[in-house]
Amino acid sequence: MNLEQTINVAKILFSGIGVSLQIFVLTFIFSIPLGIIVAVLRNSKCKIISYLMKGYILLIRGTPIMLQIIVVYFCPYYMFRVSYDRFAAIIIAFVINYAAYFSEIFRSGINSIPDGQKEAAYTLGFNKVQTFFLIILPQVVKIILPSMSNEVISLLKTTSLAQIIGVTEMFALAQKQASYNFSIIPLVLAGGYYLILVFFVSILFNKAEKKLEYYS
Amino acid sequence: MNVLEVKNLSKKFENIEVIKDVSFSVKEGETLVILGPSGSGKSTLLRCINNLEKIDSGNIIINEKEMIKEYKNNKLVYNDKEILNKINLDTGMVFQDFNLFPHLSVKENITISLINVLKMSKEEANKKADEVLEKMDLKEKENSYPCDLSGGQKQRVSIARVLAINPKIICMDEPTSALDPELVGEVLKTIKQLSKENRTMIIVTHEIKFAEEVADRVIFMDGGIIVEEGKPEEVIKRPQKPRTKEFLKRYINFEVNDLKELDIEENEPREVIEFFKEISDIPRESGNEERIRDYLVNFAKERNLEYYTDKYFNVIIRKEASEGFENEEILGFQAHTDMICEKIEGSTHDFSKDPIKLYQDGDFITANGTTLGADNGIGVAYMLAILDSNKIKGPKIECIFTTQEETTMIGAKEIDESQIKCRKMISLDNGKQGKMVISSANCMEWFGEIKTEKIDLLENDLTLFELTYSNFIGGHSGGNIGDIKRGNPIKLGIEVIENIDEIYIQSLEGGSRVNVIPRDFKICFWARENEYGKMKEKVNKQIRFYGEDVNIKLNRSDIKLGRENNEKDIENELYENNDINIKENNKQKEIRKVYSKNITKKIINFVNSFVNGAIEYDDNNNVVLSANFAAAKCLENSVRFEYSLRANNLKLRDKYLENLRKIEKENDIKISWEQELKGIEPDFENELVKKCSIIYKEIFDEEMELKISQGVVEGGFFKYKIEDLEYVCIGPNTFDVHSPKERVSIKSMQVTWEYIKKIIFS
Repeated sequence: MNLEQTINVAKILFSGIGVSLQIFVLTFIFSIPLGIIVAVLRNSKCKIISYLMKGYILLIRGTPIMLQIIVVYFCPYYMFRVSYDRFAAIIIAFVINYAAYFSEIFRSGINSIPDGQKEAAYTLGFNKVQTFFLIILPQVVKIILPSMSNEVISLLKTTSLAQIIGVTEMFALAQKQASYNFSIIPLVLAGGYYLILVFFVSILFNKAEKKLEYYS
Repeated sequence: MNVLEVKNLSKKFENIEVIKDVSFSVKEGETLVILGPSGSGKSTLLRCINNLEKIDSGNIIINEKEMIKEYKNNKLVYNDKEILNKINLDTGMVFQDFNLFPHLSVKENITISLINVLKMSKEEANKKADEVLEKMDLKEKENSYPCDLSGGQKQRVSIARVLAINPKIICMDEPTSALDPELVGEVLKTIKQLSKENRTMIIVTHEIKFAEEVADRVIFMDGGIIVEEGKPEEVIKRPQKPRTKEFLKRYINFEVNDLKELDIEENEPREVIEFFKEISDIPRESGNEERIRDYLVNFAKERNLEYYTDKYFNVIIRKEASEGFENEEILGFQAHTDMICEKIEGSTHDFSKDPIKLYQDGDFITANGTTLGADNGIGVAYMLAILDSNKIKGPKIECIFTTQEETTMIGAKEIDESQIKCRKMISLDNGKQGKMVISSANCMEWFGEIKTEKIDLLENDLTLFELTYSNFIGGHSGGNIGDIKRGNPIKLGIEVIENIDEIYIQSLEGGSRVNVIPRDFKICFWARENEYGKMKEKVNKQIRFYGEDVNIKLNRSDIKLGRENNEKDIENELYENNDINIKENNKQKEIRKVYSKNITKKIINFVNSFVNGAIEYDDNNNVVLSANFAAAKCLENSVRFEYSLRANNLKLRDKYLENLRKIEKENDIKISWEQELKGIEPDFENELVKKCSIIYKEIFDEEMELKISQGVVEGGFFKYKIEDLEYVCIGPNTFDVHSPKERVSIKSMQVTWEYIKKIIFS
């Protein structure tokens, strides 16, 4: 491939970043609240709920995400003969998957807050919701940021799996270009793009960590 | 009005009842302090009041709102959430470890609840926060975060946080116990200030002094119940219940008695008490009597009295006869200058340099948490008062001050008898008014040994038994030997096994010091399994006699020396480099090491033939001959026994000794150490005894009781050196000598003083 072709491919791939980022951002936005909810339910005193959540986490962490994506997309078709938007299926599959991982991170964070914080909040008159959102969660965020950044970076790269049900994101384009041009340069270029994206995400997390360093 | 009422509150943690049916109330504006040892349930009580723990029964009523709504099928039902929330706002809690919100600034820590719970506007909340921070003197810290504050500041913020919501009751759970000692003060100051503002507070604390200052009322809890309740000056200064006293003494090293410093002006006999105070200022631990000697020598010099002193720090001071008494016989007094040094746990008293301060507790003079030294400082004080006085008319007086009576008696043992001029000597080293010791015991003490060598037990069908005795009363072999209920575990143990034919002793140990009645004994031996029944029967009989307080146990061990074990041995040898097996093997070998049948028989025979306890009594039921089998112990190549003999009557002693020598010979006992402490044989007829008895009768119209003591007194050594010496022991009532509770009765001192003066004058 000559320079011109390379630049051309780079442009094509760049147009695919949009889809990748869409998957990433949407998954991020939906899986975090869901993760928190799962974490809280997992800690629930009601055993049924707690076991349900445990089962869900086991199922998700115990099976390949690729299989999960396929199941989410094709299941409705085989069961009810209805098909739906591939992109939506990807988002649903990713949210379900990442919520499970995030929930474990949240749970470890919540459990590491001393009981005294809850007790102090209770004696000051806070109700449970206020206690959680005003006292517990802000402290949890600081604790879990490092492990969250890991998981989020992994999410960014996992978006490349969207192609298996035919959602054309950046890496799918790269593969197409590779076989079209008979070259691995498009794949290397795609790698470069991921690297740049991860670099920015890392910066964001570092900034957030710095910001929360005001207390210890 | 009662802001808080706790009614029959009980709380269990996994079947352990930590609060048992506790009821109390708190009035508005009252500061209640809850004291008690760890685990007494006091913190849990606070947590129940704050609804941080669910209670099991009872009710808590705060500001007329009940926490428990009703009982349904024996289960309590908490009130509606709304009411619980109100109750919650009526109580504030200051935690031991602050529990500030770390992610919020000092000011936000306060405003967050005002804004979110009390629904104040931001401005109002800030105003309120400024107000309470100002009050806690933390204004300049309002923008700091908790991690930048000292412990004391953190706790003050946490108090400010509670103050801001203005609850009816502020609970504080050990607010200073997580703080460095130097930071405790600032927090206590803050709490005191609140108490003055008539806030209703319940404080759980360990700071007794603070409790005393701040509390309107004190509750002492132990074991989940309220042991004592009342005004601080009552509970802390004059606790009624033993548990409270124990706690105040032991846990916090705080003196409980209502002690006041001894006022010399107000008490008689002033001259004696004055001298007692003077010598109490001089440290005079046994073996450290140089300073008191110097004081005595100075005393003599200042008054131009004739004196003598020696290298043992003994002092003799003489005062010439008064006019008209020149021809009277010289009269001697004697006391020892040293004292036993004991103090309560935690006391910082240094006996080598600190003076002993005297306190008065009712009729008693006492020290504060240390021995008083009334034994025998009171005797010294009497002698000084006699020597000092111009008013007491009488013969020439000789006062003998001896040293180290409490330890080696070296003062009395080594004093040069040619310096002792008197032939009638009154010792002031007796702690019972109305009783006069006229005889002390001759005491012989021995360590005897049987040479031994351990052999390997070859019989395989024997069982290893372990017989243990513990928790016997013990006591001093002089004073307590007459009490048969004390028992002698060593003798008892041997008694159980005396008739067994096939027996090998593996080890034995019991007793402590030669002048102490043993309290425990443990013997391990191999015998046939079928002996168990007979032995158990004997043990049960002993248990019945000595009661439930003592511990007697006969155990069979599982270790069998059958063939299996031999096989194991071989197996072990196969895996020789296996450490565990070698250890196991060694252990096996160790267990098989026993004394031969012959040695075992000798041990049993000797202990068994030794006549122990009170042996002979006189007509008045005083013990006059006693023996104590004090200890038995396995040494490397011998078994050592320690035993002693006390006799007021030498003829009886010699008869006993004859028998003892015989059994020692029979059983190959070699004496490895011995000592003899001299005694005084009773003589009811000598002049001094008669004179003292008659005078006592004249003054008090009561017979003086003549006591024959099994103890050893210094007089024994004087009597040994000066054959024609007459010696008696008298003194005022002292109690709990040799312990920090030591005290002397002032009234009895006065009576004894009159008595002494009369003896001199007549």
